[in-house]
Amino acid sequence: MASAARADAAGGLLAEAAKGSEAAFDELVAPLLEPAFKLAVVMLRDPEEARDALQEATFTAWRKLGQVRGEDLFRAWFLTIVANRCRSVTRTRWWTTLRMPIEAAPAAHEAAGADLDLRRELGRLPASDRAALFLFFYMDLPLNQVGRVLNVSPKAAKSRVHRAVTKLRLAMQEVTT
Amino acid sequence: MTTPDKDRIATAFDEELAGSSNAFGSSDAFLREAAARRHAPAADGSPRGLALVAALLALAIVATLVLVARAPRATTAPAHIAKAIPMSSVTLSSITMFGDSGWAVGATPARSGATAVLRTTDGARTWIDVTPGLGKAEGVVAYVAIDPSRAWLVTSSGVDGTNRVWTTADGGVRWSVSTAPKMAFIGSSLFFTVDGVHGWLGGAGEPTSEFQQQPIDIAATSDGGKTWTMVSRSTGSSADTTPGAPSVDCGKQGLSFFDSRSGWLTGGCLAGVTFDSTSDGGRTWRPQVLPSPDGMPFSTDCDAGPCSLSAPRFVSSVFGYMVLDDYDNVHDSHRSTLYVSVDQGRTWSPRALPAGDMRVTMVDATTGYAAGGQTDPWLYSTSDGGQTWQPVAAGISLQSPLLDCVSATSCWALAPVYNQPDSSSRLYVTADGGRTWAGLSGPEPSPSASASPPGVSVKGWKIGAVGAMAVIPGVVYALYAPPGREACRARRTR
Repeated sequence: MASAARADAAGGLLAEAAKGSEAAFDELVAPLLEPAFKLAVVMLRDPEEARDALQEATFTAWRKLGQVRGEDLFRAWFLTIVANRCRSVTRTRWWTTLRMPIEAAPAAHEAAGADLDLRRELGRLPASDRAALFLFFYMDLPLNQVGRVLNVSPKAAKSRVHRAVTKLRLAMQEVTT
Repeated sequence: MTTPDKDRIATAFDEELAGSSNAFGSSDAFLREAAARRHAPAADGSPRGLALVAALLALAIVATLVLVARAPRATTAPAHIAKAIPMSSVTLSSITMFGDSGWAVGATPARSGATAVLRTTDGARTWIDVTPGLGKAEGVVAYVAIDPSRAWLVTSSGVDGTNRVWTTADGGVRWSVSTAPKMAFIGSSLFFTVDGVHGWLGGAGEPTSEFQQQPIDIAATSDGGKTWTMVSRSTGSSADTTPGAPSVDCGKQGLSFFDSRSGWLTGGCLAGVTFDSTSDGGRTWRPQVLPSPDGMPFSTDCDAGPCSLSAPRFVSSVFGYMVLDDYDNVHDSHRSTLYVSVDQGRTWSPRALPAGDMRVTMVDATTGYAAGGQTDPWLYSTSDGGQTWQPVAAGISLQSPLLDCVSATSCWALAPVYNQPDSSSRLYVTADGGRTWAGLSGPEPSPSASASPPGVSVKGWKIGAVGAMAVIPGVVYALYAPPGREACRARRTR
């Protein structure tokens, strides 16, 4: 009942927003801002740029609200716009990030050292792989929605997650051997 | 560690993201920024801005083609989003402000004479052209600004006479369009909405000589402009005049409503004025008694020249006002009268205005301004609902300005410019109740030949060899002929 009520509320908000209600749009999009920002940071590796991308994506979402088909898909639809925006930023960047080798800090204990290795290897993955891992492991999105956000099929999304995990595993095996 | 599992990956992301939340700030601040962005110019010269503009332009073109090909059908079209245009580059014909945001119609350099719909968010200093994608030979014939975000437009096609109504709820970023019934638009703008849901569109037809009669069609919507229905028609012929239609007498001048049912249609001519009211949303109309300012019949008052009666405007749940102007074309003089109602328009009382040819803007039931007149002072204020008027020492002289006040102290004045072929109006703003005005239209124009004659002292300045001189607060313009040259030069100082 509660989820049905939430869906009704979301549907009402979506309808209101599609009619031009800015308040309804704000209410609809507010809960998604934090995860969307994090997705943008994961993909762009730059918080300031991520915020800009999220602003652009929010503006795009406002203009294209009429394209949403079903309020339950709004979250995936919005994250798709954010991911597309991040890809576009990456493609049109006139600069590239020069990444310096990270000197691992002395680990206070084994787990901390291991997490540092993991973070370093996560940072080395390409944006698309990082996005797949973030959506699947961090946001707990089902694979069909991960695929939707990344503009690939659910099967391809599964492959991408698997491939990224394999890369991490191999890289970390190299570290430990 | 050899097998990164879900929890460890999520934790690693958490740690990576821990330092980035500061860059995001609060959701409220982000949403405020997003809202400002929705109403701000899209083009900023950056690759991102240009890409966005290109996308919007492409959308506008596609939407326009679709609309032309498939009209009539309610749809949504993106606006033509342009860069912010400085006030000095536009010529406004009408302005409606809501705080620092507002709407206007006017001419821009890019539109070469066609009326543009403009929106500002910085107190009218810059404007964004938000005109929707109109068809070929389609022009704006009327508009109504509802609030800072919502506005309605009526456009008419010069090709086939099709009329369309455009509505926006997001400051002109997106427009919805619907087809309105075919009707003529001659004379004043007769377009009104009380709440963005109920609206009326009056099409005034070909008038008889001196506007002694003018037919009118009235269409109404009750769904925010999506669909329009003809509710009354007055042609002067009983064959096609709907029962209870408004009088065909006099030129049609104003249409307004208090709520979804109660409204008024005003008119004026040599024979008097018409003041018809409806209580069923415009289907049937009947003449409402309006006492003349002096107890004489309107036919007598207006006999020396046409009368005109503005549409009632309500600024509270009970208080409304309108202005009667009685023009004497023999003596070229005006007598203006303010009518006020304190009972939702059921009865109206005349109150004298301090000069003729005045336009009134009431901020609320007590505070307001009257501007215009044929001599200085051109600005008066009232603090008792128009019973008494006090002149305002404005420090600048404006002729026949259109005044738009958003508070007891903040007003914009749109003043026509005479003897200036390339400019027809200038905009001024005051924040102190009209005592000082700042020009927003760039440098003041050079004085015309009608400026002060040589040798005349103007506000403490002595003119020597110059040909003419004009003074506005803080700026002196001098027109002079250099020795040995026939051409005049204009100089400006501060």
